[in-house]
This record gives sequence, C-alpha cells and structure tokens, in this order.
Amino acid sequence: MVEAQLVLTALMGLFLAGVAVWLSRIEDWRSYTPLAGGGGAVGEESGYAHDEKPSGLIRWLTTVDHKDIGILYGAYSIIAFAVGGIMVILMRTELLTPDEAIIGSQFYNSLLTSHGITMLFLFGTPMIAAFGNYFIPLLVNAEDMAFPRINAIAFWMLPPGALLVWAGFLVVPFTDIQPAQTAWTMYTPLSAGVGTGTQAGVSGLGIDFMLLGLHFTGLSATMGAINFIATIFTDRGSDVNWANLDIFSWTMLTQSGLILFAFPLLGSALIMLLLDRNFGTTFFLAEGGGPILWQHLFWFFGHPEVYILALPPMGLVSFILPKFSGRKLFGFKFVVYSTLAIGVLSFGVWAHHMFATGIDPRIRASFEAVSLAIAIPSAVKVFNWTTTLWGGNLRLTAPMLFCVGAVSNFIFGGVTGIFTAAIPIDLVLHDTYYIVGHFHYILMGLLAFTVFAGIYYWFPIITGKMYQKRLAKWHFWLTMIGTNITFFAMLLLGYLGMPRRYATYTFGVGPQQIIEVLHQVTTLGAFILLVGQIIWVWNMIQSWYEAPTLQDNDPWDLKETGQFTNEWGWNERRLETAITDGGEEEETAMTDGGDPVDGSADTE
Amino acid sequence: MSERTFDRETLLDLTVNIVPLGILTFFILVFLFASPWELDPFVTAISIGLLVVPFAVLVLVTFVSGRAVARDEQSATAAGELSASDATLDSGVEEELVSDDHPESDDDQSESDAENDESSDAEPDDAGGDEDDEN
Ligand code: HEM
Ligand SMILES: [Cu+2]
Repeated sequence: MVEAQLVLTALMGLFLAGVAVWLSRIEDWRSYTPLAGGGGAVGEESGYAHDEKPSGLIRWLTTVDHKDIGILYGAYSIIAFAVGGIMVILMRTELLTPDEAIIGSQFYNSLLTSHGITMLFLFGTPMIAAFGNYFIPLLVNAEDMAFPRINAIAFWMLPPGALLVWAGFLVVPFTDIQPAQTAWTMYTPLSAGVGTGTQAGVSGLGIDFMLLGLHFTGLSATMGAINFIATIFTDRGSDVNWANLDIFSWTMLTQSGLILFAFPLLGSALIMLLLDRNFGTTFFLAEGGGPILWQHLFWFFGHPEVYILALPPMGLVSFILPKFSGRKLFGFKFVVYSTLAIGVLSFGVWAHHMFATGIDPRIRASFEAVSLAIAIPSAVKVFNWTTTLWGGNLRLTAPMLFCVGAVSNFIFGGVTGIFTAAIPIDLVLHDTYYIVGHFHYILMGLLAFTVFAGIYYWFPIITGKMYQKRLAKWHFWLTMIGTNITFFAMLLLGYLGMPRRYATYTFGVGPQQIIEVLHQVTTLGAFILLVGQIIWVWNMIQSWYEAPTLQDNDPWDLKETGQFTNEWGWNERRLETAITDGGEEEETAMTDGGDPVDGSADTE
Repeated sequence: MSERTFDRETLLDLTVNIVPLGILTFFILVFLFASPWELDPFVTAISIGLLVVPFAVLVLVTFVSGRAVARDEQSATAAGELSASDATLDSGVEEELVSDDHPESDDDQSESDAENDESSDAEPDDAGGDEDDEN
C-alpha cells in the first residue's frame, strides 16, 4: 500500500518533470520579454507603448503596460476599500446598542466575514501590487514588468474573485443562499458545512463561492509575486544592483517571496476544504485530519500574510519618510536585512494564533520564542525611522504626515503584538477585542496610512497634478484621530473581556456600562474615519479632473537633498519629451513641497 | 575576493540579524537544558526543530543577501556609474547627507548642493551596529 503510493508519487513527479521539459522545448519563454525588441536597453522612456494604446475602455481592458495595470489595481483596491468600509460602518452601527437592534446577528456575521476577507485580499494585497506595478519597473529602471501579459492576467483574476467573495450578498435576496459567516479564518468544522445551521446545505453555498473567489485572488497574488521577483532579478537596469536597490523594491521582493510560499498553501487548503464540503472527504473533520489541521494550514499561510501586508508598507515608510526629513534613511542596510529576517521568521510563528487550542505546551513555547525573536527586526525599523527623523529638516506635507502617523500607529500595533506573543497573556486576551485592536493598529494604522502616504507622494507622477493640500490635512487628522479613538477603545474593551465577533454584548461579560460606552466610542471613531475617507476620495477625484497640470518636475524639492530617485527621473524625462513634442498648453500649479504658498487657489 | 567580501562594514550591517539569532539560540539552550518537562524525543525534536529551522534559514538568507550586496558594492564603486539622467538611487551607497547642510527653512531655495562626497553609509550604520551589538 505504502509502496504503491510511493510509486505513484514518483510517477507523478516524473510526469510533471516531463511536462516541464516539453514546455521548455516548444517555447522560447524569453521571447515574451520585454514587450518589444528592447533587449537589455536600460532606463529609456518606454514611450513607444503609448502610441499603440487604443483609446477609451478598450485601452483599459487590453493594456499590458505596467503603469496602466498599476492604476487598475489601485482603482480596484479602492473600490474594495470602500465596500469593506461600508460593511464595517454597518457593523459598528449595530454595536451602538448592546442588543440586536439594527441589522441582526446573521447579517452582522456575514458582514464581519466579508469585511475581513475584503480588506485583506481585495484591498490590502492588490493595493500593494498597485504600487509595485506602477513603481517597481520605474525604480529599477526596467522597461516594464518581466511578464507584462501575466501581469494583466493576474489583475483580471481579481474582479471575478471579488464577485465570488461578495456573491452571497448578491444572491441572498433571490435564493436561499446565505453569505459566508465563517469569519476570515474560516475555521472548521463550521466552514466545512457540518451541522444544520446557515453554513450547511444549500444556504452554505455562499462559503463555496467565497472559497472559489479566494482561490482567484490567491492565483492573482502568486502570479504577481513571480512577476515582481523576475522583474527585480532579471529586468533591472544595469545601473541598479543589490547594493543600491531602493528599499521599497527590497520589501516588495521579500513580500513576493512570502507570497510565493504562503499563497499556494492557502490555495491547497482551500481546495481541501472545498472537497470536504462537496465531495465527502474528511480532511478537516473530527473523524479525519481534525479541525486543528485546518488551523495549522491556515495560519501557516495566515501569519506570513500579515507580513505580506506589512512589509511593503514598511518599505513605503522607509522610502518616503527620508524624502521629507532632508536626509537619507538611517541605517539603510539594517532595514534591508531586518526585512529579510522578518520574511524568514514569519514562517516560524504561525501557531501563536493557536495558543489557546490546547496544542502541546512544549511546542507552544517554541512558537512563543520565534514570535519574540521576530519582534526585534520590526523594532529595528522603528528605531531607524525615528533616527532618520531625529534632527532632520522635517517638512510636514501630507505624505510625511501619514508616514509619521504610520510609525506612531505601528508602535502601538507592534507592542500589543509582543504582549500577545507571551502565552500567559495571550490566554487571557485571545479572542477579545484586544486582538482586534492589535491588528487594526497595524492594518489600518500602518498599511492604510502608508497607502495614503504613497498615493499622495506619487500623485504628481500618476496624474500630473497636485492634490489639494488643505483637504489632505483634514484627511490626515481625521484618519489619525479616528484610528486612535477606534482602536485604542478596542484595546480597552479587550482588557475588559469583551469577546470579538459578536453582534451583541448583552451577555454580561465585564462591566456592562463601561463596555457599552467604549463600544459607542469605537463607533464614533469609525464614523470619524468615514468622514475622513470621503474627503480623501473627493480630493483625489476632484484634483485629478480639475487641478491644473503641474509644471514642476520636482514637486517635493527632492533634488535639493539628492533624493531625486529613478521614478521622478523617469517622470522628468517623460515631461521633457512631452514638451519638446509641443505638449498641451498648461496652467502653472503650486506644490505641496512644504513651501507656504498661500493665497493661491486651494489646489496646490 | 571571497574573504574580502565580508569586510568589517558588511559584518556590522549584518549584526542586525544576529540579535534574533541570539534570541533563538537562547531559547534552544533553555529548552534543551532547562526544560521543566522531561525530554521526549519526538516532541523535543519538533520543538527544537521549530527553532533550528528558522535559525538555519535566517543564517542562510542573511549570508546570501549580505554577499550579494557586498559584491555589488565593490563592483559598483569600481564602475562608479549612475544613470545618465540626474536621477539618483535610493540607498545609502551614494553621498550621505549631513544634516547641518540642509537648507534651514522651507521657502529658502538656496541651491546649496549640500552633499558630502565621502561615498559611504558607514557612519550611521556603524553607530547603529554598535548599539544593536550590545543587545
Ligand atoms: C511585532 C510583531 C508581532 C507579533 C509578536 C504579533 C503577535 C500576534 C499574536 C500572538 C496574535 C494572536 C493573538 C490571538 O489571537 O490570541 C496576533 C494576531 C494577529 N496579528 Fe499580530 N503580531 C505582530 C505583528 C503583526 C503584524 C505586522 C500584523 C499585520 C500586518 C499583524 C496582524 C495580526 C492579525 C490580523 C491577527 C489576528 C488574526 C485573527 O485571529 O483574526 N500582527 N498577533
Ligand atoms: Cu501572527
């Protein structure tokens, strides 16, 4: 029996190797890259692509230009961010009162699940890919991504993924199918459809949709990661080497490595779960592999995933913060090596999410040890950022404000993480709002903040315009205050014992009155955040359409401090080409370069 | 060349990863020699493996990346070439700025090309390296 299996495995391996050999013989893969016969031509304006682009919708549907795909990724992610945000606003509204008064617990649970999945897989990962797609080729002086068409496919996997993830909500008015209510961790046996609740039988089809949707997004992320790795390794310009590769590319490279090892595992686990649900296998059932197996597989993916979402934001802070401090990043190499260390160690800590499951205490202790070790490289970065700021010539522009805010929030998120990494503390705080506070300080406080920083910072390159400075400041302060009100209150709720993932809090854990007030404070914070984001979207759209075209090739005065990096150099060459081509007539615009240029229009 | 790849500079840069490696070593020793449980071969193998494997991979990744960076650093200083445009690269290998030279105020557009030409990131890294070393 065992021999037969071994033989089968060996045969399968041989077969796959044969397929690989065959494919490599019939196809000259290198012929796909780069787009046109540029060969190794380096750092030149890739203007030829523009002439060939069709106009209108067709352009966006057929594009293989990394910048267009970056914009598509960005637009997609921001829509997902809005959807996830509206979901959580409904949830927070329900939590204004202790009992089930507004949307009901079933709908709450559906929203909770979709909010998490949407923010992590449909907003976080693709948003980072948006920056990567637009800027990595520019930063490393590549013509385009290494595989432009794979790049397009990777993006076009995402819209069907989103539709499937949200499918439960779309069909619930017409069918018996319920949206998934498993929470983003999809723990079995609930997610395996065991029992008679809404997650089993026909009404559980929403889970199948969601799993298939997640599979799409996983494929997309994996293809994107391969593309980033190939681009940075093989397509970088001859003037870019490992010694001077920029920090954002380093973090994207590390992140892509994490994706490469984490997402295929999630994909396999999802398929096993689908088989359990639909084909009678017992991978995750008590009589088979057991529910803990799912948790191991999920978190072996899940913890790297949180760093997949954290490393590029750390890269963005490391990249942008020095630009407005008037000096280079302090200890550049430290940040590089600690990024790699986080990447490696993030695969060794997964069971710190399972401390309370009753796994062997000796094994649990090992996970605690690695979790403590991984905190060091994270802390190193904070010290590097602080030291970069220290004595620097700070210019509090919108991107800078968001970077500083992100550092501050990351300290909260990181310190609360170290606490829960200690087993005795975790046993008390596990599954409370404390955990929700911890990871939101990082996901909202670091990830979303750096996304805003990046968008503001590169807005002039992407749109050729400048955003409205005053609105950006409003956006920052509302977001900073809202984030800290919301998630600090959550930490306190956790200390009081409020469990997470409940639509009500009438069950008498902890001091009821205080819990109610804290929940209302949290909801207030969420509303503040909502207002801030509406201002942001308005600012982005209005500035893109109506702001005067920017004349300044160096809106942040980067040349002054010798930090005029490749992507700005590319932008400058592009604009100069446009002017010699006799570009359009343009109005002058002011910048948010820290210069007090008051009195002009609010578009600066 | 291979011996000189890891010069003092590079080793100092790599100290940042020696701290987590030290923490892992500490716990390996504790679990081996001060464990309150008796050593069960299977569980011990797993629990030590969970520390040794990340340790080994981290050593490997640090070594490989440190070598790649150090090599390119040497060849880059030899070639000493940046892109044709006035674009610069975003790492410490080029000129390190001295904060005193910064324009003091925002509106002051003094074109002080305030760059000091000792092309090295050694100074801040060294300081940081020493600090971390002591942890
Ligand atoms: C300083 C390093 C960090 C440490 C030591 C740490 C530790 C932990 C621990 C022990 C838990 C499990 C708590 C429990 O469920 O009882 C946890 C949960 C979580 N952490 Fe962290 N964390 C760190 C950084 C991060 C980062 C950078 C992110 C995200 C970008 C993150 C996101 C999360 C998420 C999403 C959860 C909750 C997962 C869930 O149960 O739904 N953490 N963290
Ligand atoms: Cu974790």
